[in-house]
Amino acid sequence: MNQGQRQLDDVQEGDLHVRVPAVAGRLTGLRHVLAEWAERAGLAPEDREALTLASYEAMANSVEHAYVGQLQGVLDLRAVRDHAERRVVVTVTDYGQWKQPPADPGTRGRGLPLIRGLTPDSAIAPSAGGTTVSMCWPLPD
Amino acid sequence: MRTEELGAAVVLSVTGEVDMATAPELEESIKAALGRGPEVLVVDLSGVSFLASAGMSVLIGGNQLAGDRTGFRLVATGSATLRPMELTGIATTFSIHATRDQALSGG
Repeated sequence: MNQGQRQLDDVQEGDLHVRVPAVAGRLTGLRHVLAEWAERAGLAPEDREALTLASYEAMANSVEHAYVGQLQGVLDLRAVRDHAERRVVVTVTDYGQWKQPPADPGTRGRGLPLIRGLTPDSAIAPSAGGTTVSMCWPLPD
Repeated sequence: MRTEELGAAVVLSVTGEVDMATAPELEESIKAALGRGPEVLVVDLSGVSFLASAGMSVLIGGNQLAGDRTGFRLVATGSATLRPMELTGIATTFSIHATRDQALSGG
């Protein structure tokens, strides 16, 4: 069983886990689902907006870079409430390759700085098997 | 998306969400507006509820394309449009105004 499958089995009630083809056309709808989830999770409006945009950028990165030259790939979007830590955690995982951002982004390449700016706590873990972007926001008291 | 001519200025009003899927449409509209050779192009983002980096890339490209020939000005306020541009540091490369009138009169 691969790691993706194990995490898939760990989904708790109230959590969100969606696997979609990594294509741009799927991201708009997914973003709206995520925004609704964040509202149900009780996040402050400003954090909801940040979560939606940062998660979108992480997914857009997977769509744009992970599966270049391949026929098809998927991405997993997970959003969970971590009650013990009073936070929500969003992860975006793809199973393709990581593209190192160029030193000079030119007109493009604002996705990663945007994720870092919008997220109080974020981590990007590229590996041979794919890339996971993890982002956390606090739950209000 | 709506384009209006106001004297020597062109105003492009953008509404809705600007993401990977809709950014190409914005790019075409900006190119078409710049193609008219206006003195000033105001891209009014007041009606935009979501601005992803794909949209920002289009704005950066538009600003470059405008060059010295056309004054490229944005109308943007608040968390949906201005905040993402500030967070990425690109806000300082644009002429950004709070209202359309200010953008039309401001340099």
